[in-house]
Amino acid sequence: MLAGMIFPELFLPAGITGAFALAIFTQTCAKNVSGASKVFIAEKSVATAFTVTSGEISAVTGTNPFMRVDAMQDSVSWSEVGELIGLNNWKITNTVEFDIMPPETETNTFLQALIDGSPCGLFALIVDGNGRCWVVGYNATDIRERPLRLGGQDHKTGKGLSEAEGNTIHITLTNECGGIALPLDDTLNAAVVTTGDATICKWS
Amino acid sequence: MAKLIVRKEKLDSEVGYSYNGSSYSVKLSEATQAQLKVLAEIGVDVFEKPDNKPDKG
Repeated sequence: MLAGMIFPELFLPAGITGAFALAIFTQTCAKNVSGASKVFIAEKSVATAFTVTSGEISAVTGTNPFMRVDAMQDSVSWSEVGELIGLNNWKITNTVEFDIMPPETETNTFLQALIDGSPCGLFALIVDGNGRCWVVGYNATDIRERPLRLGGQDHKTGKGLSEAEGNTIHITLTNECGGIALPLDDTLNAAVVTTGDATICKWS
Repeated sequence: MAKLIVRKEKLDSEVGYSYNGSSYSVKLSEATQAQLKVLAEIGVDVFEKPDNKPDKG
């Protein structure tokens, strides 16, 4: 009884995390920049493990698992929408979207790899407007059981020169899961954003 | 196989991995040797290297 009061997490079923007590939230006085600037994608079979320390991802196991994707400027977005299901359940829907261009053999190769990797699942590394990196598709509740899938691809030629989105390919990755996405820790984050030499990414 | 020892700075970490088609999460401070062996096979880099051990005598 006493142990349960002191260490409640010892008595939670596997896969259930609920040990965060409400505490004061303090806001950082800093700029908050909207948008996302970069996206990297890993196949679940290649990113074989995630090490989480104090709620942040401190290591990703695998040989350069996250592939750089040169998406079009201001086309990358990630939405994480939580929703109450019944009285006690919480569902989170992640949607990662980006555009690539032009339609070419290389674009087809990339698309086919997403199609082929989707059944096993994908993880996305998103760099947001604040320069913070997030791994989408992995979370502390489902662990690796609910990765992203290729939700859609949309390519239209457009009708003429005045159509800005003509001949771009819009790609959507999505999942439904039970946990919020985790950020990279400061060391990994800097290696991705500042120095561009993180070994968790394949750069060239 | 020699006993696997987790580096001190990684003891508070948790590793999420797949094994035999299922996902698992293990807190490194509570992991059994069997679980650590699986992590080592996958290539998770949290272990003390033999040459990091302090010299005896």
